Amino acid sequence: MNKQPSLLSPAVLFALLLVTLLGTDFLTSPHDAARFCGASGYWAPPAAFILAVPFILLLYFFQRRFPGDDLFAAARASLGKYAAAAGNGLFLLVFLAWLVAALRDGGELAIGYFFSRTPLWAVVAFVMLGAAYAAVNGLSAIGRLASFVLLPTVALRLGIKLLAFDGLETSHLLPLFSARPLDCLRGGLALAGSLGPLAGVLLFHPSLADRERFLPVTLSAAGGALFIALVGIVGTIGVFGAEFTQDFTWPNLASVQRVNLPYLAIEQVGLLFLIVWLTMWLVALAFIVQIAALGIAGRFRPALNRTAAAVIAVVALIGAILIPDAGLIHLALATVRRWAIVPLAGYILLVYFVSLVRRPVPKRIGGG
Amino acid sequence: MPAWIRLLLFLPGCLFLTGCWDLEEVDHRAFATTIGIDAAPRGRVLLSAQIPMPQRMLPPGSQGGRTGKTFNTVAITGETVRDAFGAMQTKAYRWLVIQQNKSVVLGEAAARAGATRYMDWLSRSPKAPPQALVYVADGRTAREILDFSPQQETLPGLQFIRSAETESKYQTNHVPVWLFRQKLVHKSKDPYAPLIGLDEHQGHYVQAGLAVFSSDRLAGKLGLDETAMFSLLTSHAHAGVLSVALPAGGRLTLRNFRGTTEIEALAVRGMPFFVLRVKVSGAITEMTSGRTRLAPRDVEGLERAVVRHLRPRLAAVVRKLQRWNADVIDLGEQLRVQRPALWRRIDWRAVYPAAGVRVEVEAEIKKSGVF
Repeated sequence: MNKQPSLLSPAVLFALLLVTLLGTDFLTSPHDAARFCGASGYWAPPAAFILAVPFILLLYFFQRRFPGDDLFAAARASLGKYAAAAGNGLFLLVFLAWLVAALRDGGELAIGYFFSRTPLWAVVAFVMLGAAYAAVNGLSAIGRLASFVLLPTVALRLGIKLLAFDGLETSHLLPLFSARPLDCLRGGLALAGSLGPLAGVLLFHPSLADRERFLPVTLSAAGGALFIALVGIVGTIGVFGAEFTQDFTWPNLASVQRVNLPYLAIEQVGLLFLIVWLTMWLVALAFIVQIAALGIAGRFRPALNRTAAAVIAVVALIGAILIPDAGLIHLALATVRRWAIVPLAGYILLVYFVSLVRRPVPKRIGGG
Repeated sequence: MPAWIRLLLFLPGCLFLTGCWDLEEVDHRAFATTIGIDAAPRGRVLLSAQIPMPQRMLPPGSQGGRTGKTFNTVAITGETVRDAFGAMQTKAYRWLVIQQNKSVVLGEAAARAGATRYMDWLSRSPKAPPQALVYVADGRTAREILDFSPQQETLPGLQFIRSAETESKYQTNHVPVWLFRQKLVHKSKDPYAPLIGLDEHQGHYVQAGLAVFSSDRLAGKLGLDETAMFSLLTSHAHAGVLSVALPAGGRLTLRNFRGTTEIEALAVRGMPFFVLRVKVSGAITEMTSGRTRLAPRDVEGLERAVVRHLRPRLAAVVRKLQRWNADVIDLGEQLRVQRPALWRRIDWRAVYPAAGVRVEVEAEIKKSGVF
């Protein structure tokens, strides 16, 4: 029996998106910024925001055109059954790749810093168990979890990053315009790619309570994530310099790990920072599992959705364990993070334009 | 599924909360507080670790308290630092933990051979604290430093840290592992580290100046007075003391002596030229003449004496660093920032020894009276 899913408020959507974006950024934004823009890597987040605006506008116009249909339903109406099946499959595959790479990379991070003797399968299995538990309970449950952790995690993450400004040398951030405009654009593109998970909203936008606020909410989530990236970039490049920043796999974490607070109870804030990030990572994994499950089962079949979420979790788990090389997976995640937005945005754009040309009659529902 | 079944399924998970594969009981651990690294024959590495013995740190007579050395030093050789550490793990009956390591002492011979191979693992391992301070043993091996029992009953490793946390120390320029590595990686900088020595007669450690590196090799050593000048050039002098001979005879001593240096990078005939503007200040704490009432003209005369004292010494330190091809005062970094086009065009390491440098000193005596 079809069941109307509960509606997500704008505040919950904001929490969900911001925590997901922060949980999938993989603490590597300073690396990308330093790589493309050198000492003036702080221009990368503003450039990324400017580049993200068309993507977010695309999401906004899409959900306005298809207020009652999610992306996959709209694709079936616009592209036809077979082309839509291929496109939808590709869309899901991108999210699945993101999920596998994120799970493995985060697992490696946890092993490196916490559990050097624990086998990888145990770490990723426990994490995936938690993420899958949240995911099988539906989007509302993940939304509540994200809302619950939003304030403490964001406040702690920002606060710790500000502590990591200790030892900052302004010369490392100069000259102010050392990067060429093209380099800023490349840096911006690299960071904008991490906003890819926003595309997942189109698989549940009919379940949003107040779709008039879709644009400000998504823009704020993207802006918030990029602002926190900016703070991390300034702190990390300011302390390590552009050359040294690129030596680290997780430079954001490295800049925090070296903070020394003598006489205080917590001498090494790096571990606290890592715990905060892992919390966000867990929510992000649950969100991506749920997005993939929504893609497979749709919004109106909760039982199938739960089964799909469980299956996806198992597939991602196997994928994360089978990938043989940690260095390879970090490279793969970097590639997914930078470029996954291209097929995601490209597919949404394709469906949108074909729908404009073929003019299918969109379903209208209330509440938006 | 009923709630009680869910609860039953969940509860076994609690058994894992104490840890499983990574379970390490505190009494099975040995905490290394200082690590020493020396060059050993045939290209090998001698790794030493100082491990505190808590039962010896309790007052004698208290429950469990015992007399004797408060720490134990274990040492072993290996092909690399990591290899030696692995061998040390098998040698120790407890699990050797480096997460609490406070300092790294590099033997002088190892520093001269090139620090990169000795410091790489410590700056790469997520378990090794990046905040640990780097020292170079002055004319000794790191193992000798670690084996030494200071008369004060504290752990030597902790003694180094306390010294670093006393910011009023004039001649200290402490460098954590991460900063040492940062200076090693950047083309516009060279690393340095404090020299640590022993006064065996009096039974304590001595700060012996500064070890200066050219790229990753120890290029030379600055004495204590030269290190004081280095502190001024790098704006690290915060609350020191300066004693100056006065032209009319006698000596002037300033307290709260501090200084900052502005570096201006210029391009003169296509080559870099630097102007170092050193501004120092301090308050009179002693005049051997015993004079207390000073007119403004007298204070200006004393300030001129301070400038006359400092300028040649500062310039001499800069020349020495250039001779060693060791850019530890970050002239290259300022050139990169202020003259990026020139920086890109030249090979800094080749140009630095011959770069023109002018040192300008401005002194201010802030308090001239008597408390």
